[in-house]
This record gives sequence, structure tokens and C-alpha cells, in this order.
Amino acid sequence: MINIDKALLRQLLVIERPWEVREYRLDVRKHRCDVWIAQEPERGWFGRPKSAPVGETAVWQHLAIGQIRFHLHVNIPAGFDSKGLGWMGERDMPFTRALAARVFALFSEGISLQSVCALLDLNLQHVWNYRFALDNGRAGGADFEAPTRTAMPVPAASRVVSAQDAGAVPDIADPVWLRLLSGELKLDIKVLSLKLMLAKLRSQMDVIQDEEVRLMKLKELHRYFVKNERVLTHELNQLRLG
Amino acid sequence: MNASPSPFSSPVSGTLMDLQDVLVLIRRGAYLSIAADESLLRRLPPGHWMAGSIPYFMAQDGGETSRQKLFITELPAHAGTPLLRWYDNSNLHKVALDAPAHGLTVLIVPAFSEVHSRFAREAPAFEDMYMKPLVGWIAGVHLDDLGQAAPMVVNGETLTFSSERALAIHMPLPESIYPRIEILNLFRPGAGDVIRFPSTGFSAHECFVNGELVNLAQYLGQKNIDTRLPLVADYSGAMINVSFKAVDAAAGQVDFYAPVFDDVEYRIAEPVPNYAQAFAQSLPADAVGASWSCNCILNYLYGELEGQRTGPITGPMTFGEIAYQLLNQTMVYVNLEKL
Repeated sequence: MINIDKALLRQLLVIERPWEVREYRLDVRKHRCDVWIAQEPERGWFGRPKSAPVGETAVWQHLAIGQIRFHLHVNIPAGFDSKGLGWMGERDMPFTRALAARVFALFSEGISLQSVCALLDLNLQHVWNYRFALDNGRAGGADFEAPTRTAMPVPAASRVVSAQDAGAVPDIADPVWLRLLSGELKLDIKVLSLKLMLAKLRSQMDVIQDEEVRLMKLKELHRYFVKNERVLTHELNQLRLG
Repeated sequence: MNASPSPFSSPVSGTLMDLQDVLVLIRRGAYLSIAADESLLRRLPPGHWMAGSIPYFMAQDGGETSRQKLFITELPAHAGTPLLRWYDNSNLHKVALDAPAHGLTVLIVPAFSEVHSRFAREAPAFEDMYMKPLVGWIAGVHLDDLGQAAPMVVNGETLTFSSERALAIHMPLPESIYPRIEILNLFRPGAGDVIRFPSTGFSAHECFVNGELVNLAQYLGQKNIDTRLPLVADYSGAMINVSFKAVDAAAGQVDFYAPVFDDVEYRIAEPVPNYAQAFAQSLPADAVGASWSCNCILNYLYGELEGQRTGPITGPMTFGEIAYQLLNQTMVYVNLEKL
């Protein structure tokens, strides 16, 4: 058994008081460390701890350190608001906010589910669950790591696509994409996959409030057009007319 | 499959054949998609084939029910070796991700399995789902065998049979060929009530009719609705059906052949007087060159298609059709177009 100082572990995980590491279990062979975290107990007379507050235990996977994956078992007192704490996550989500932000950033760059798993050494089912929650408006994007945030594209003052771009897919910043996703712009669509995809994305946009996730949906639609540009001539011609 | 159109009398979307003719094709090394009764599939030798069980077909001579013949579609293998891969609940969500960057995937799913249920509910959310062309069908059984035999999916390369796993064949295609997937749905939303569901699923008790919460089974009874007509939803211009399976008025429950989704608006379809005629009239001219197709057993039954033709297109009559996602009462076909 390798011993790690619990205070050091708390600092490595960037956990601040009144939270403390109660216990941990490191399995070097499996590259896994389980850490049990709770609030420090209030002290009574003569420094004797009062009984711990009643709460629920939530388990989230956190950012790895080196090859070691961290799973945090956090005892959360009833009514506690964890907003803003990167080492905690949302209810029923597999990841802490810090790890979710890392996963989301990769999704936003169009990285595939499998590649995200490979890059961050994550369980495919967990990443899938997170992705499914994003698509259904049940999870936000990069709520924790503010520096990675990217706002929805600002509608350009003039058309991005020029005559020279004829045949090309409009730039991601072109306002035409938002109009298409919102349903404001209606196209005569011949390609079945686009009809189905647009219907799916529009229904997702109805429930997704998080700007980052909405941007990810917009990028998904743009990526579809880029990949299928050769067969979308009819639709692209209408897009260019706006 | 074939990249060039064919005359009406010689469909390229497949042919109903005797066992001996199929054996010749398998021994020749062709890549085949096969639909037949399970007893026949068990007599086939190993080879480059995938199959699903079903004894109902739209054959070259018209609708036919047969336990003695096999429906064969030759698959393209001229841009790389097609890859057969099994999918269960643990990896089904990767089916489109596993598909080649440019190609076509055909997926056969056994009816009534967990994997059938998951595909029906979650396929639209699978990664890369609409990025890469994917078609397929739901394997079934003869209706006389319902409850006694399980629908089967078969990997011909290993002669492995499964009633629990789906099988895909991922086929790379040349960059110059585009597999255009089309659906032909005879049904249009009627002018009646707008129906929405509070949750996604294969069955429903309550639904919102024009915004008012009602029991669906009671509503169908009160309105005397013909449940051979599906619910129809408009997906940005693509009409997608959900067919009624059973209405239990006593329990107040309605079951469907595909899930209803909680974010979609449905209407009961307009009646179709003559299915065979409607199919023939609705097919666009370029459908003659369809290289792969399937249609729904409910169209076969409700439209009384036995002995009748649905235009030039042939294919198995299945327990569900796949054009990216699960469909009901719809013809699916693929045209391999030259870009």
C-alpha cells in the first residue's frame, strides 16, 4: 500500500476547506484512485467533532493526474449548492465539471466519441451518457472552465460568402446557420439525411439553453454540410441566397 | 448492388431465388445480403453473406410468401473489402462511427431483441448517424410462428446465428459513387388532431391531443380510428410513421412497432385506397435503378400485396425498415449514383 498524505491529495485535487479527504484507495495496477470526500465536521467543546451532517454520496470521475484516474465519492449535505466547484459534477452525470469541460471542449472541436475516450482514457459508456445529456438539454457545456468559452457566432454585418465562394459551404460564423437551425430559414431539402438531421437538431435546440451546447449543435450541422457538400448542391444554392 | 439502372422487368434491388442458385452465388465469392426463412438459412455454406430471417418478399413476380426461396441482393465490393460486424447493446451506438468514411452500411436487427429496442429509441442520437449512409431492416418470422420462433440474424462468414445481436456490413465505396437513400411513404398526415406524447417509448397510456391530456386508447376508440393507419410526423419534409401494434382498451394502453418520441408532433395518416397502385405511381423515375430495398410487412398485409407488384422495386417485407433510423410502413431504397 502506497501512502499519500491526505492534505497533499486534497491540494492536488484543488479541493478547498471546509472539504477534506476522508479516505482514499489507490490501485496502481488499475491506474485508479478512489477518494472519499466530505466536509470537515464542526467542532464542539474541547475540539470534539459534532455528528456529521446527513447527506447523499455522489460519485464522479475527475481529471486524471498522470496515468491515474480519480473517482471522487463526495458526501454532499442536503441542500448544498455545488455550483462553481470544478471537482464536483451535476446530478446523474458521470464526470466532475472540470472533466466535463475538458470532454466538451473536445466535442466542440468535432472530435469523435471514440477519440475523446482514447485521448482522456475514459469509459465509452460514460462519455456517451454525457453526450446524450448534452443533446437533450440536461447538461451544460463548459460551465466550469470559463477561458475555453466561445460565444455563439455573432451575425456578420455582411454576407460571409462571396461570389468567389460559390459552391462552398458558408463559414461557420455566417448567420445563415442560426437561421436554418431555428427554422427561420426554410429550405427545399432533397437529401433524406439532412431532413432527419435538421429535424433532430431543431428539436434539440428547443430544449438546450446552454450557449456552448447550442454552438456545438451548430458546428455539427456545419460539419454535416462540409462532409456532404458534393451532394448538397440544391440546398447550398438556397443557403447562399439566404 | 449495381451502379447502373436496369429495366423494369429485371430489378437490381434483388431477386427471389431457389437454394441451388444461391449456392452458386455464394461459392462464386459474391458479397450477398440474404432474406429467407431460418430453415433455409441453416442450409447455406459459409461465404461472404449476411442474412436475416423473413419469409415475406416483394419478388420480381410480385408479393410472395415463401419458406422455400431466398431473396438475394448482391452488395458492392469494388472499393475495398466489406466488413461484417456484430452489435449488441454495449457497442450499438458505434454503428455509424464504425462505417467507412465514404461507403454504405446495411444493418439487420432481430425483432423483439434488446438491440432492436435500443436502436429504435436512440439511433437518432448515435454519433455520426446522419453523416454516413445507413440502411437496413428488422428480421422477423412467419406470422404463424410468432411466439414460437425467434427472428434470426446470420453472419455467413462464420455461420453464426443470433436472435440478440444486430449485424452490419460496412462497405467502402469509390469516391465517385454516392449511395442516395430514399424513402417512399404512402402516408401523409391527415387533417385531424395534433398528438404529442409525454415520453418516448414503444407504448403509451396518455398523450396530448391538441394540447389536452387524454388516454390514447380511449381516444382511438371514441374517434373510431382505423389503427392500420399509422401516426405520421413531419421531419423537415420527410414523413416518418409509427405504426400501431395493439390497443388494449381495458388497460388503457397502446403499443407501437416503433417508439413515439416526446419531441415530435404526430397526426393520424390519411387513408390509402390502393397500396400497389400508390407505390407504383409514387415512385420517381430514377427509382428503377434502386440497388437495395426493403418494405414493411404491414404494407404487405394491409395493402394485400401478395401477387401484386410495387413498381419495379423488389425486396424483403420486413418487421421494420431502417433509413438511418427505424421506420414503419415505409419502403426504403438505395440508389448508387455516379457523382
